[in-house]
Amino acid sequence: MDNENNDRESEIQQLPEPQYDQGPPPSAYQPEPAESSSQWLAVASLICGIISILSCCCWVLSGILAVVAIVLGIIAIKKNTPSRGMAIAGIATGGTGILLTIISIVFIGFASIASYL
Amino acid sequence: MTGLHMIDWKHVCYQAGKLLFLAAAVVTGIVHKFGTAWMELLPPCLFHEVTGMFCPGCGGTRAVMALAEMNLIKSFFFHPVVLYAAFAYIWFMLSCFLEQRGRRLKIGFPAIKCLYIGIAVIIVQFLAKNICLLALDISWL
Repeated sequence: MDNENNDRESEIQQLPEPQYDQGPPPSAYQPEPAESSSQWLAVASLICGIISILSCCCWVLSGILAVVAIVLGIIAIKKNTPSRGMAIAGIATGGTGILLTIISIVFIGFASIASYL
Repeated sequence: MTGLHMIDWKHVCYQAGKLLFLAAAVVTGIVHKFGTAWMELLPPCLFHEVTGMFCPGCGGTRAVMALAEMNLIKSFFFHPVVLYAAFAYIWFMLSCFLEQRGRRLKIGFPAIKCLYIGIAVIIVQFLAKNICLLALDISWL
């Protein structure tokens, strides 16, 4: 029995120590992660959407910004951004901007027709 | 990894910012050359025409024109978010420039916080302008 115990102890002592993955050594430069990069898309989408709503009177600018907001928002969602809510808000504000632009164009069209009659 | 995943979107925003600078330079040139009389050609605000109140964007164009004339106080009173956005833009471009050049001085840019502050400014100025108009009969614009 004693011999068996001694053998086990010697086996345990011979086992190599577990190697834990400690990752790369710390350095001053930390590259920006991909998730953080895609956050910028969502932010840009929301900014374009808000400006498209605010500038709905200038329908050319509003229309362009609304389309840009929707495209950026869709790309952000496709990239599984952590700021998914913000990307959805960007698409929603872009959609609202397009709607307001269409209403504005129709209103201006009717107003100009009415002024001719 | 597709092409979209490889793009550094902060860098794309920085490049778009450079284009925006060109657009701002063109607007400033137009304002200095022709004045602001061409603003009469712009269509009226639909929200203001229908309700009689100011919309959240009312005064924005005048604020941009005042900023192009470097009249900061006038720009702030027309629409404070224009001046705020101009400062945020300068901060963002400077932070990207320093980051790209690898300078030791890195100022950073809290984009999401800046965005929320901007939304708050829009809401507050919208409420303030309409409260002044409806309750006190004072028109800011």
